[in-house]
Amino acid sequence: MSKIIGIDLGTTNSCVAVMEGGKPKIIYSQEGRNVIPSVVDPIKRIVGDVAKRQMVINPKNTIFSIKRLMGRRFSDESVKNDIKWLPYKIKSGRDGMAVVDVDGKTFTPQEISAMVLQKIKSDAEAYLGEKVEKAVITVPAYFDDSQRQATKQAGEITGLEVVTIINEPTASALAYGLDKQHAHTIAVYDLGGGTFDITVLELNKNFFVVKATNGDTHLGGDDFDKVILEYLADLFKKENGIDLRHDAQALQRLRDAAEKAKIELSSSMEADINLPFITVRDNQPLHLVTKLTRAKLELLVGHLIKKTFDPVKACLKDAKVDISKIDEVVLVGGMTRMPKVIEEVKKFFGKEPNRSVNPDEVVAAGAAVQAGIISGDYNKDILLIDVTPLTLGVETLGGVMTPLIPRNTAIPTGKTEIFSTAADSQTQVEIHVLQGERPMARDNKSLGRFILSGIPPAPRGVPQVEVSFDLDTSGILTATAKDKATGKAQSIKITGSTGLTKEEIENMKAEAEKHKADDKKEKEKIEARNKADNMIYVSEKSLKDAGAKVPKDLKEEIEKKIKTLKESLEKGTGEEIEEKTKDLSDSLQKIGQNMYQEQAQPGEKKEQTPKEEKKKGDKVEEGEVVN
Amino acid sequence: MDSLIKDKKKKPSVEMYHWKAALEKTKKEVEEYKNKYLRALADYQNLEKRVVDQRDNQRNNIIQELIVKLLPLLDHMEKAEIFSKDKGLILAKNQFIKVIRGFGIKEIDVLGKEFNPQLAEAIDMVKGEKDNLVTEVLRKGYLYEDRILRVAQVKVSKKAN
Repeated sequence: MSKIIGIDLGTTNSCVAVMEGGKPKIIYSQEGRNVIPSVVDPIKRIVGDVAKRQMVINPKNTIFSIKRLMGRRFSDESVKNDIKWLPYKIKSGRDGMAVVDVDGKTFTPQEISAMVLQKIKSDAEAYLGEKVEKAVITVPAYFDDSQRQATKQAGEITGLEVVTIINEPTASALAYGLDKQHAHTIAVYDLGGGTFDITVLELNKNFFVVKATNGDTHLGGDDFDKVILEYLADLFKKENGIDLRHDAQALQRLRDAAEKAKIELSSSMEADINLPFITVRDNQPLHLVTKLTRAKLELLVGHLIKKTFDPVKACLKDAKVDISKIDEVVLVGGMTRMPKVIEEVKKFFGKEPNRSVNPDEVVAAGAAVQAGIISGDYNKDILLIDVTPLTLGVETLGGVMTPLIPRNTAIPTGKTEIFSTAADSQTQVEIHVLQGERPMARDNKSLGRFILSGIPPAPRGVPQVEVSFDLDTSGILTATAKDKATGKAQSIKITGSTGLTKEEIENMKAEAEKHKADDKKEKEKIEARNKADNMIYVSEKSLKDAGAKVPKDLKEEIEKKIKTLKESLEKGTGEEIEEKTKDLSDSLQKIGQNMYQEQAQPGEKKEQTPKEEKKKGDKVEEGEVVN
Repeated sequence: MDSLIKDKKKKPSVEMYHWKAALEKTKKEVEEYKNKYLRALADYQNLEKRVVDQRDNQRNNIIQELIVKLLPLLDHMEKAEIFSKDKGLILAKNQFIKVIRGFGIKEIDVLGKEFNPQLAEAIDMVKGEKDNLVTEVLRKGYLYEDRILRVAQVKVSKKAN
């Protein structure tokens, strides 16, 4: 059975995805890009980047932003407005619908879009290695019936069965699995290349319903690029008296540099703009070299970002929804990568927006999810918890957290590790299940605890207690402890171990980062203490076991060092403890040395603690002392 | 002794109805899981193929990615050469060209030829005698082993109309 692909047929760019392994996967074009420009030369029959490259010399034949005319009548207000700035010829076609005229030939918007879809179809077939016959296509929430029909027709012209048309904001919500999280009211903030759309969705049983939508059809990333370009050109003009906008090549380089700087400033505080040989004056080359800070960029585009919030307020009003009632906010469109945009959205809605999915790809991903639901590739009954967001582990000697399942492990998953007792004759261990990123148990979330008793008395470190964590697809953690000697086992089931809110998870991660240095030091100190403790135990045991075989002066030396080590454990620093531990260890080794020198006694091994041996994959750790 | 006895006949058939329904449901489930399994297996096998392809192409991909980022250096050296006939600069430039040639990078020949959007991007239109000819190369284009590494940026002629 062939796969159903999900297509985001955008105004500026289009994107396609398909469900694979239960997840939406973006299909790359044959040019190796994740999106293709929605640009077509219908006479030469070229599409995408190639069509874009000849736009300058073929302005009347290179059709872009055709989505603005899709399913609209020639007499529509918006069509009349767009005619003013679109360089190609638009006229009234059959039934008064808007059509384009290229070299005397008429093309409907459906036919133009069909060419984009044709390229998408063949790229998808190349990727999947099989024929593609069905698709889900997305449309803006405000598209009326005529516009939706036209979109469907475009698919049919391509030879695709358009299984369903879904709204772009709905697709975005599906991409984040918000239908499974039972988020009731969602705001989708979509700032794309050329348009801004804000939509309020409501989850009604299993379906998303559009409560209200608003936006600005001429506000997008292109406007942001333009502001930067103007700034750079004005800067150069002031310093050099030349307007780079009059030189086509300089203008192109400026445009590219502006876009590149904008992107760079989403991850850096400063961007270098370096354009050597940008132009010539009096036969001398001129260069444009400057820096653009994030702060300056935010100043330059601030008004554009502010502009988006008027439609947002209007949309909330139409939906009759108060800001506080919004459960989730979703960011869509490349421009939402800008930190200032994210900040303003967060400030406005008072919550962290969903933005982990690539904002250029999220609509196509959602269309693929819808395609998956229809073809049965997607199980709605399983909770959308793909990975465990925080590390899971147990508490070990010294109040340290020992991880078992690291964060971001795909579930279902499981891990088993061998632990042991911390004291001689310890007959029970307490398993304290923890969740979090901090090295110390007390700084993490306690999920539960239980005791495994009936461990046969033995020297510390000898018993083998197998601790297993099993995390199923529903996020239920079963922690089991089993004594390998007796076979006795105890376990607890913890539900909701992944039921933390996004905020809680982010906070925990942030806290861990903040305290990383201090935590590390503390953990090292504890580990040094544990090591020292162990060394004392081993030394005392060795002395006892070796008995008379240890020469008196060596025995005294060791006893003295045991004493000083015990003292530094009481009040010494981490370094002191480590130093004294090594000291003691050095002396201790002399016992063995001595014994081998005196006589080779078969069966008398150097007292090496079994705990010190680390077999591959089998880490023997001390369990917590429980009384 | 008007005792009731259970109607032994009815009971088995009611039970059997339930068992039959349960069996049908289970059969359906099995079919569903079988399909899901086969699909997951197919996805996995496709992924395997793709991973191998990607791995094999990795060297090429990395070279392409690296060289495309270094090309502006060459562009600027060539521009500098227009204004400065410094021997050292020209030597450096030639050395750079030699290195990238060693990796299979070749310049795309577009000047004077018919404009082809597969190979070049038109930045400006100029008046000319013939239509659609590349009159000036503003930025050179390069191939990497028959693949387009970077398209050229050119000026194209249009007959005065």
